[in-house]
Amino acid sequence: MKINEAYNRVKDMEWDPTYIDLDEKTIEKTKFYLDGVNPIDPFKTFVREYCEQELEKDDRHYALLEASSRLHSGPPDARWMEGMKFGLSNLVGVEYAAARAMGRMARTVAPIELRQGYMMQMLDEMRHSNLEMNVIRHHMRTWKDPAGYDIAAQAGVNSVGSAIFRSMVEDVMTSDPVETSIGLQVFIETAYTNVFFVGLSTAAAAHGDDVLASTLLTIQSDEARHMANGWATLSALLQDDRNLPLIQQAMDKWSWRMHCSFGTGNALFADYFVRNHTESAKEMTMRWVYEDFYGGFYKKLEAFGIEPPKHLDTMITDMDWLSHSTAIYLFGAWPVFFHRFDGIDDNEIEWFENKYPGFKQHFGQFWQTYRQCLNPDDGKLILKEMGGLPHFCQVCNRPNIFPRPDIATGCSRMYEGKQYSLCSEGCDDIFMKEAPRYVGAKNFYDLYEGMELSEVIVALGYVREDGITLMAQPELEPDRMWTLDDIRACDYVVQRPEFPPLKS
Amino acid sequence: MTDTAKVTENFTVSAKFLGGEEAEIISELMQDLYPSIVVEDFGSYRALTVDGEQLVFDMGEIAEEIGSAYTVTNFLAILVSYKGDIDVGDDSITIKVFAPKPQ
Repeated sequence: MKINEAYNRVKDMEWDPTYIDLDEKTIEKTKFYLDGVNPIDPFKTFVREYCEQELEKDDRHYALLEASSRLHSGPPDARWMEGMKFGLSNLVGVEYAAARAMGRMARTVAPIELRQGYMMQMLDEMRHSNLEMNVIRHHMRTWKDPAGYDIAAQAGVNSVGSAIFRSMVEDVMTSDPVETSIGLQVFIETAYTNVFFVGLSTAAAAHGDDVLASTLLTIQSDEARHMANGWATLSALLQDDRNLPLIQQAMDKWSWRMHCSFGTGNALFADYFVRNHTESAKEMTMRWVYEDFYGGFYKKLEAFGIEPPKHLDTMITDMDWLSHSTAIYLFGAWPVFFHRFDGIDDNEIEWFENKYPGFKQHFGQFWQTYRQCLNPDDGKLILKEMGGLPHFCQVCNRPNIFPRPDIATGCSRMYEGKQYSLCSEGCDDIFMKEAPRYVGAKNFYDLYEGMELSEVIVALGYVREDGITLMAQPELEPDRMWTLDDIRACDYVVQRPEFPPLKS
Repeated sequence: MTDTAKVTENFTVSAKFLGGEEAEIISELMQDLYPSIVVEDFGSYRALTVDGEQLVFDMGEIAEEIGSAYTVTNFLAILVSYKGDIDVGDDSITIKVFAPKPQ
């Protein structure tokens, strides 16, 4: 039987149960209009073929994992391996949340063609969270300093940097169940996982991390189906003109949110977690996201009346500084992370100046100062030299330093008597439309204001087994590692800075 | 020019494969079938790109080159990403230019 014929036959097995009404069955409603649409499912995946395919993928990937335990191709690059302690800690929770989101969509969305794809995707996302946990476990067992890999799951929840990813994915999975498709399948999986998982896989391989390269690519092979799910959902929605304003709102919101999360993370990893620089993060993102996704996919939606995302101009100009502003935040706040940092050298500064004209003028001083704050015996903390941490955005959880600290576009708003910080016009728009969704989150200052820094590090759980040495270190191979006593000697107390200008 | 205006519409079709022998064989086959195709080897993955035309991956032709049976399942196990409008058939996979039109 031909696949199209079999597919139509399986669809005919759909039924309306008599033991439960539709409202009870779907539990949640969607604001989008899906009655009478004719969705397409380009992959037409059946469970039998799905299992066969995934088994083949797992056989190939886990064979590599096993072989890597026996074969010794030389140690991977330390800057990359340490950076991935932070990088990988963010992914497991995101994948698991995506699985929950897909289950929710499969329950709520009516057309069977779409539901089948969502159910397969739910299984995929569980696979992905397992794959990522396995690579974390592999690295924990094989990397010379496992501290940081061993707490990846915990750090993914409580790290100040991970809040960027966590807030995004919690926003995605609690949105309108169909709008979730636009956030997750259109923006994360069609735009950003391509650059993140395929683009960064070459960096992983180039730095001796073949295990992660294989993990990222096998994950992305499932994302290919998720991209199709996203287009199947979107093309169904576009069949009803009543959905157009809802789609536009969703496009405006999620394009910005993904720029602030995946876009920010990828820029950091591509520029600052690699030693072998080939392509800049800006070049990579322009190619994969702005050319491939926006030029090759999004622009075609104009035929349906969909306009470019409201903040697209800002997203593109942000690329000039995104990785560097993110880096000085992470490196500046190194004690509250859980990996060894590796500052850039003079050659890299020159390389960055070539790729990002003006880099030395705006960021050179930070890196000079950073090098002066490496030795714990000098008692100098880069965080103090920078004047402390800035405010964090109540929506995206990024620090208020974007696009660049000297031209940061943050503002603040009052809501029910309390003042909240926003990093940008994009996040301000989101906050003003849906403030109740965001005001419940406790930021870094809500949690740690008034605490001395060593107390914060202990509260986070980022101390090595000896109970006194920090997991994080400002360099890869320090002569002496920073301890809690060294932090106490720097006498840094977490103080909430002044709010950005208030908007009424 | 605003930055938004710099995002120009394109009609590229591409397929990206897990690096390895199968990807190499598929690339060579497709280079014979599509003279304008651009093949880039990034080590961990391989990208095949054309501008403005569709790519049809026929499992029978691939099997012939590989020297053993080859199915859509085998193909999808190594297809890590694509750009365009994909359609999965019984024995072939087609990636067309993404150019949807309102009904």
